[in-house]
Amino acid sequence: MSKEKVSVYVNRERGTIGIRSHILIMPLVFCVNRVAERIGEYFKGVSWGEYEENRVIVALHDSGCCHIGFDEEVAERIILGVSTNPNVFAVLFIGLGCGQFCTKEWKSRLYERNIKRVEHIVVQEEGYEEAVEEGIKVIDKWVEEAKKLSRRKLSFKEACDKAVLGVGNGASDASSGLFANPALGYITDYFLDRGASVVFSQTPEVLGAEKVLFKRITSSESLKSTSVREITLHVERYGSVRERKLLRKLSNIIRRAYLFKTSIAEEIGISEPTPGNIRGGLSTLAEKSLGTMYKVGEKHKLSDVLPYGEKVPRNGKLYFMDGPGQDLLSITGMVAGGVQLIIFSTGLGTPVGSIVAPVLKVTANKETYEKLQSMIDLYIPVEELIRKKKSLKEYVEEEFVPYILEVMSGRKSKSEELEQYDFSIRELWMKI
Amino acid sequence: MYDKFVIKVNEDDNVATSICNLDKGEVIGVYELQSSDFVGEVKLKTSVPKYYKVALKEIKAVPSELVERLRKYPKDSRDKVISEVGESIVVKFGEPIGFIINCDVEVGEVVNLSYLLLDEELASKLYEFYEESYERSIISPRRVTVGSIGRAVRDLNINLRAIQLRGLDLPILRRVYLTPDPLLSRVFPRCNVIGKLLTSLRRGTDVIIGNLADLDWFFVVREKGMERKDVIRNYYSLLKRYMDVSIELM
Repeated sequence: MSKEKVSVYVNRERGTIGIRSHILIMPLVFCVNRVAERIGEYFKGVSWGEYEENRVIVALHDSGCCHIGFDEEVAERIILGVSTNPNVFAVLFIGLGCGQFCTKEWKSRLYERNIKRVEHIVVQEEGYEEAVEEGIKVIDKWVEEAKKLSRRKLSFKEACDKAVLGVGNGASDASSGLFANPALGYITDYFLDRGASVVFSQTPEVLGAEKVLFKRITSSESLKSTSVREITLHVERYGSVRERKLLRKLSNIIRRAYLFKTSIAEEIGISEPTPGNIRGGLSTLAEKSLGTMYKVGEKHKLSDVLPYGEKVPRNGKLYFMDGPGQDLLSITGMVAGGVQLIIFSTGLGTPVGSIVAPVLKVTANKETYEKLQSMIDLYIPVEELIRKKKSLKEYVEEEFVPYILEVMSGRKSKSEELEQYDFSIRELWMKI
Repeated sequence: MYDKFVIKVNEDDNVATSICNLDKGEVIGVYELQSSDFVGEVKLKTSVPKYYKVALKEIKAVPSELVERLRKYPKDSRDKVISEVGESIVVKFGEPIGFIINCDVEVGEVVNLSYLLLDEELASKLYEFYEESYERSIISPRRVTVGSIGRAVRDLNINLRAIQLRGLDLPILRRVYLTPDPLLSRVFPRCNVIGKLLTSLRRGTDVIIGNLADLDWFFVVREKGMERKDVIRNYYSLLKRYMDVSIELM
């Protein structure tokens, strides 16, 4: 395949491109999970696309009722965001009838976004078995339509105009900060250079590396500050209105993350790094955070900070989403934000996937790759690169980028091969 | 070209990371990512497990008197502390990642958690926002309206008219901090925290209360003659009586 060409699903009505064309069954409350599951089971093994990459996916979760405040807002944003992801061809909402979200006008909200293939079945109105039958009927029709869809070849730059890439990391060890995250950084720059938006998340993993992020607020070359305080003073004094706003947003988010962490867990530096991180050679949270910050590349400045699950603008800029450190929740937040593809670094290895976007795993840990090849997509042979005097950037562009383009064109990622269509809704409070 | 080597990221780093298990006595190369070249070698004085850090320079332990002083005067600025413990800072990625305490680390020795222990006071200096965040949570509370404290408080005739209490009442936690925190209020809904705590905390949970007692203007006493200390005492007794929790003042 040509390096700079990708085959994608072009959705003219929505003005987006999808790299998958999944049909999503979204229960609006956990009570109807089984109904959704039964509909999904009927379509088990049904797939379409050149690589059989598109599926009927059930987004099982244990949320949707008795949320309060922030949790209600987030759950709704996630359900809506994931359902409107460009990789989704059609959505079937299943409600019970009495849940917090069951009575909302999901259909019209999706219509507003030019998504026409959407149905909403309410179990208390339809009946249990009838809801299953109705769901099967609706999806059967959509599957036939989806099978007729074809991908269109676009230049990579054209595709990037409408693409959002997510970058993340999990189960980190010392190799993540040294090689895997810098590799992600090169991929980030590669996509941003060609006009794609890129988003990263995981606020707790900024703690201790705030300076690195703060330096990305401004592109001022006169900035030679060595501390957050100096950067703050510089931006406050010389920065544009946008830069000053961004600085305050970022400061508040980081302060809150410290408070949150120290309020619910132990002292900073004790609750993180995790036992696995420590086993992998990471001794402090600062060491872990400084390593993870490499994933955002080095060329582009930060455009804005987005709330968790908020839509990421498709304007070719770098965004930070204020989300939790946990892998799946951060991935789900980004997918709700419209991310079509996620590149994820790991040291110790994780099988995590996402509900509708392929998640490509990158590792520089040889043992992890050899042991967990079935779940790791890309490996960086560190010793070989050093011996051959080959730069990481060169290696990424030669080996990783063609693979990424193939996955964008339909080739299944390892998480998809393992059917890791993971989904989870973030909750801070108990349900009352 | 060395058979075995460690990876140094930045020229300012005083530690490098091994990428394979290394034995005591081995002489290994130091490869620097910034310059993409070998910048020296080091003889190992201890064995170094894969992905662990090895000291490239001698790193002295933080003087114990400094730790003592920090405990006494925790408000010393970060820059001041960092400059004083300069020789004890572990630098990786060109940035401080921790301090060596307990004993000095020599060139070629492994640097791991047993040395790189983050003393609490020192840690708070390393993380630039930590102290600031915490201080802000104490000194700038906002008041909430009558009724948001909750029935539990009112029923007990605790004469608090306007207290802002926000805590995280997740029942899975062993400890809960009640911190007057204006930032968290943006995240969490204003709701009846005390009432929820009463119903949701597990028996035996520790509750740590922020320094409410230090804030004169934090309380509005409804009835005349009610002293601030009475208000505070009543509040603590409420928690003790109804929540069966041990209370520890911060």
